Amino acid sequence: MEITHETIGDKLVVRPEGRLDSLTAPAFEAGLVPLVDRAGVVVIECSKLTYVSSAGLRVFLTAAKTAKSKGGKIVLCALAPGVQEVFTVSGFSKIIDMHPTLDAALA
Amino acid sequence: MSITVCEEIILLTVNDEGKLLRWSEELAVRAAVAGASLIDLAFRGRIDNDVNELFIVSHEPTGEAHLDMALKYLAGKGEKMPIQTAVYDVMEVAREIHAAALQRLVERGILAKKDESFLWVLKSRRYPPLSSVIQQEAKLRILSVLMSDDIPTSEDVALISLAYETRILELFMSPAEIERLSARIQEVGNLELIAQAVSAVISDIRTASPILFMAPL
Repeated sequence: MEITHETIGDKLVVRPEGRLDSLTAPAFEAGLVPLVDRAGVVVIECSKLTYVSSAGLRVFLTAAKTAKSKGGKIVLCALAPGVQEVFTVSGFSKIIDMHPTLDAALA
Repeated sequence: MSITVCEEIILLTVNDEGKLLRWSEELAVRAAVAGASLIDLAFRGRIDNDVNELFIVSHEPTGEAHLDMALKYLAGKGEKMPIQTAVYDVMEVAREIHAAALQRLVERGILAKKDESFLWVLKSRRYPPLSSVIQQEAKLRILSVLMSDDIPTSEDVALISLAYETRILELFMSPAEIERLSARIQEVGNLELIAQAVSAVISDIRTASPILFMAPL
């Protein structure tokens, strides 16, 4: 899985790409957590995220906790329907802000 | 000291005198042990799951006898299965996993093992805590997460969801307290998909045999 990032306005936008499962979660966590550890609001643009397993959900939980401990937060946007379902069924959508588009997340 | 979720959940079922939940009636403990073992295996990268299925990703032993027992048994059933099926499968060996996890807690010096006999016949076995620190710490972690809006760790989510679904919370929280915090318990408990499957399994069993879910201790 690949992860890229850029700053738009005052927000850091992170773009993961590919499958997020037990094989890719350690690398994703190693890439994401340092980013949320130093920035206020981190928008994770998920349009190219094709699959998320429980191992992947745990990374988002860790990232959300890390961000909150620094006074920031993570925001997810542009989730594909299958990925959105995982976040909804697992209840993660109740503890992490989600938006349908990147523009809405940046607004 | 870092212990497994399975050991932690069992530790919550031991009272001050070292008595355990009545096993013969406690299908809830079997479900909790099965669910906790699966979550421990997931934390160690041996299994993974999505909303529908659970799959084995590595057969490498974890080095924890109780978890390796669960992994080996599960692997014998298949590489991929619905999550509820995995819970039912591991419940079949939950008694053995429970015994091995208790033994691990004894080896770690957290519990003692005391056999009481009468006329040379073993009458009962107790596991009195040698120190209540770890048990108290688990209870405090649960209460701390439930009484705040902090984002919990994956370990806290596992502990809270399993303790709630299997009624282990009732051993140290009053019904009024559980009722008052029910929205937060649901919010946190829902975050673990394996615990959701444990909940569904328990619900199925309760529907089929409600009398089997009697009060603990």
